[in-house]
Amino acid sequence: METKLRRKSYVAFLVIFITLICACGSGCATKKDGKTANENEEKRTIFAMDTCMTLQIWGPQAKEAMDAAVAEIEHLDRLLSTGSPDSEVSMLNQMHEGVVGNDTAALLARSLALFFETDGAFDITVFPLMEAWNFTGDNPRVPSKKELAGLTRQVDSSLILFEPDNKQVSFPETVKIDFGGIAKGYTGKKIAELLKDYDVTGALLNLGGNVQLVGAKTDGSKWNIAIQSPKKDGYLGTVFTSDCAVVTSGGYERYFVEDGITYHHILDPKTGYPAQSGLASVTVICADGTLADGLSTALFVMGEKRALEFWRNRRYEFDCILYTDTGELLVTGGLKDCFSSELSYRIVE
Amino acid sequence: MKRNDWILLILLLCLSGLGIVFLGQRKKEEGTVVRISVAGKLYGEYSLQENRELLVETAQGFNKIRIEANEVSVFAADCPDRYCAEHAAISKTTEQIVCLPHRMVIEIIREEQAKNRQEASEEQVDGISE
Repeated sequence: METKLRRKSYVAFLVIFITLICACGSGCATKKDGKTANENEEKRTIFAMDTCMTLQIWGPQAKEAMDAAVAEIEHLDRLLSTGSPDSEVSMLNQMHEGVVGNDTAALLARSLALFFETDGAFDITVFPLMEAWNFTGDNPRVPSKKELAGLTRQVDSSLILFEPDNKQVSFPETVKIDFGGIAKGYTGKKIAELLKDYDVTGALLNLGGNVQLVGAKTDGSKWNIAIQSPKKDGYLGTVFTSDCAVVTSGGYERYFVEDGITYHHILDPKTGYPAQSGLASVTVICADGTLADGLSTALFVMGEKRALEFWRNRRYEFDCILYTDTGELLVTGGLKDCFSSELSYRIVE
Repeated sequence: MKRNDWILLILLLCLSGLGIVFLGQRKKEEGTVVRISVAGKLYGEYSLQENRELLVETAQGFNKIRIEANEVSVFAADCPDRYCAEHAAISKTTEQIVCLPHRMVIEIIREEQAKNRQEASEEQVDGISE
């Protein structure tokens, strides 16, 4: 009788024990499905600046840092959106003059400097051309030659008068500006600076394909960033790097097809047509996200020869990866130890 | 305690051991999840291992999604640019398919536990510049 009772208690004990293990196992699994494994990791995807952004932040105050980063993106989006009529940029385009805030002033200064440095390959006054092509709208179209000829005459950043000291800006009525070619890079740079106040150990900010890296990965190593192939058939290669921006511009990102011809969104400010420079994609790797963004567009417009000449004069500021229409992959000297690819490529010095 | 008690004890311990192994494996397989969100809100999560077709209806229009052979793709959509449908099928955690007009995002979520070191070093892409 006693043995029987004992046996029963053993069985009961074991059943409870097994049930507990199972419950714990499935419980942990359910919890892990819903949340990220690391409590100090935050990941968020948001729609802003006419694109989709994914932010990943690691650190003891990751949540607070994420909230601040998202608030900053939304603030800059409201300020710089050409789509909303009451943004600072839209107001400027309506009034043609005014005193601007710190962010717009910083962007104006950088944009005008880049315009002169790139000999007009980067130009924020291409906005009337972008409107005519309507790449971001529901009905993009090919404007007539006459229309484009008229519009390109108005595209010239040297018509903008900007006094950095009192942030006063003015330009002729025919001119309209858009920071679309530089705003995401500036945003990445600003968030990278903001995250320093939150003890962030690492952050990977993907602002619609513009990658901004802060600090290191959780294991202390650098990040491996893949470069999208323009044919969308994989990667051109990967860059192993940290604390910098990796920005790619390519005709494959936004385009439309009319009568069998593909028209992409990177316009040559001089012709008014999509740039036909022989390059399919340009990636700029640079500590300064603003410069990386502006330069990726400018080098794409310039073409291989001019782009490499430009790099040779400023090789300590940035590096780049050029992929030509004929399938040649060119990588500048500074990347020779951190670039890897299954494709054959040439290091340029 | 009798001999039979010991046999029962060992038997049950073996069973519970098997149970743990089984649970562990199941967790690893289920670790890869397809997460679909619309306008920043979670729309649904589906196993990457189970083949299926989904119709995602958003305020702006629809996207038809196919999960097949451990890959996800959009095979039809009524958005104006149709970039989402042209996007190659995705299978890795760093990859995303975005339909900007519909504000729809497809992501691959993999649990850290299921992702062992070797696998990480094979894929080892943290982000994509495009």
